[in-house]
Amino acid sequence: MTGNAIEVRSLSFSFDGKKVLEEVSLTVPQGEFAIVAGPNGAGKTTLLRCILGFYRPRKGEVLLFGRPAWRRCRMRRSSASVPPAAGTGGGEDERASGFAGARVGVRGAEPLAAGWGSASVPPATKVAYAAEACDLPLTWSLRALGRWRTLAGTLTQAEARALEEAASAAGLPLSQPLGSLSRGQRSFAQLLLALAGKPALLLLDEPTLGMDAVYRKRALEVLLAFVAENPTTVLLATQDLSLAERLGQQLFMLQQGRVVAAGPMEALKARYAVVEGSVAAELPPGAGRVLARETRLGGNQLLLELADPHTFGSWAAECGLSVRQPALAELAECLWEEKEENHA
Amino acid sequence: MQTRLYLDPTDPTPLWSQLAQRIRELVVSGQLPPGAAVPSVRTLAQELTLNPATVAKALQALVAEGILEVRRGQGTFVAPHPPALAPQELQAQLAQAARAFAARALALGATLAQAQSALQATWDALEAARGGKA
Repeated sequence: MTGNAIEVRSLSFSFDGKKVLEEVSLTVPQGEFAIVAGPNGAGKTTLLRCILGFYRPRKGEVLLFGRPAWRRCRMRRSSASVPPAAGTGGGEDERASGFAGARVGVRGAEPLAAGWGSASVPPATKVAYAAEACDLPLTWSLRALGRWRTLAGTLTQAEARALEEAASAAGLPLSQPLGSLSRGQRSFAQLLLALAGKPALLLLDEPTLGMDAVYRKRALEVLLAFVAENPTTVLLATQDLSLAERLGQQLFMLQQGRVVAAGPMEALKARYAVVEGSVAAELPPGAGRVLARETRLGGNQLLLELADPHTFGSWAAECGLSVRQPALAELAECLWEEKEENHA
Repeated sequence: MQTRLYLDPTDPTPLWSQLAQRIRELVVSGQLPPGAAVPSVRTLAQELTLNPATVAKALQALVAEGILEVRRGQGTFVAPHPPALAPQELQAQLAQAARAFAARALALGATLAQAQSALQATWDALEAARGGKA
């Protein structure tokens, strides 16, 4: 299969008249690992929920595998807040029931966690979601949830067994209610649930939140093994830039509801340059935009958004300046701060 | 192997290129001898917390350079004979590497003597490591 797993076109979304997302567009080709990075309140979680169809955008559209995501809203509005009876119905209704455990469509209510199917895409293209803010059925154990999902036709028996094995390997209690687990353990359980059905599209919102270093490492190992073996498209929202850099092939930098930088990770970074040394000479005209200027002992440092990386490289070499690409953290610091100033 | 493959998150060099360089160093220093098995993409990705595609890109670059070879169905191994570069290509690659080093040294305000002595020390250390293993 080729094409785009996610297409967001000019998406705007408001809560109580407050703009949360403003003209957001992004495209994630199938099989890519994409990152939405941004500071607190940038709109990452809202964006993911619009993509999932939990929120109906004010303007713009979201396509999942070429089909509009919002169609699912209609079906979920009538849904119960507990998992539906197993094995109900067929066809479109059954696919909708994949989401039927979610209390959504009502502001303040949270969608049920991790890995339900989607009504707008064919049953084979499962969409999974894991997020801290998800409303896990806390009285259910991981084992019960895995089996219920089996009955609901979401997980095969083999997948449910694999889920239990993965949970045991991670040291997660299988038969305790999820509510009795720690925050980090719940995050891990969500990730496992999301992966269990081998989704074609995986949306993760700060998936390692609340985890200690050991759990975090294990969770990322599980995720990376999954990505290595499955052609899944991933969209991961995080403010952890080192993680973003290590995992992401595509990067969307979100700041105050807008995409301020986007593209393949390396190509995106190549559009910027850090110049170090005694930058005495005037920058050549049209070199680019200075995003940050720092004076340091024995020299200074500029962070530039380049108009033409190649030309700039030769100019800097002639001047004997050292030019390098910024680390993602450096770049983010600049882009995030810069926008705040502009709004001040 | 994982402890020797530390990637520097503050280093602006792309991660795949850093990884390729680390493995290249292991091969050149003899710590990863000819014929040695290289861990799978999945294993390396897990150990280094890297996207498998990034790991695959690093390994592909090393395969293209002839430093590693893929044996179908078995995995990736260090090539039995490290490739001999054509003198022209060697010069070009040396010049490129030297340029980065010289620019960095200049930016740091080092003298040529300081830069040369740093190069010498690193050179000796790498050769000693290679000699010790052989």
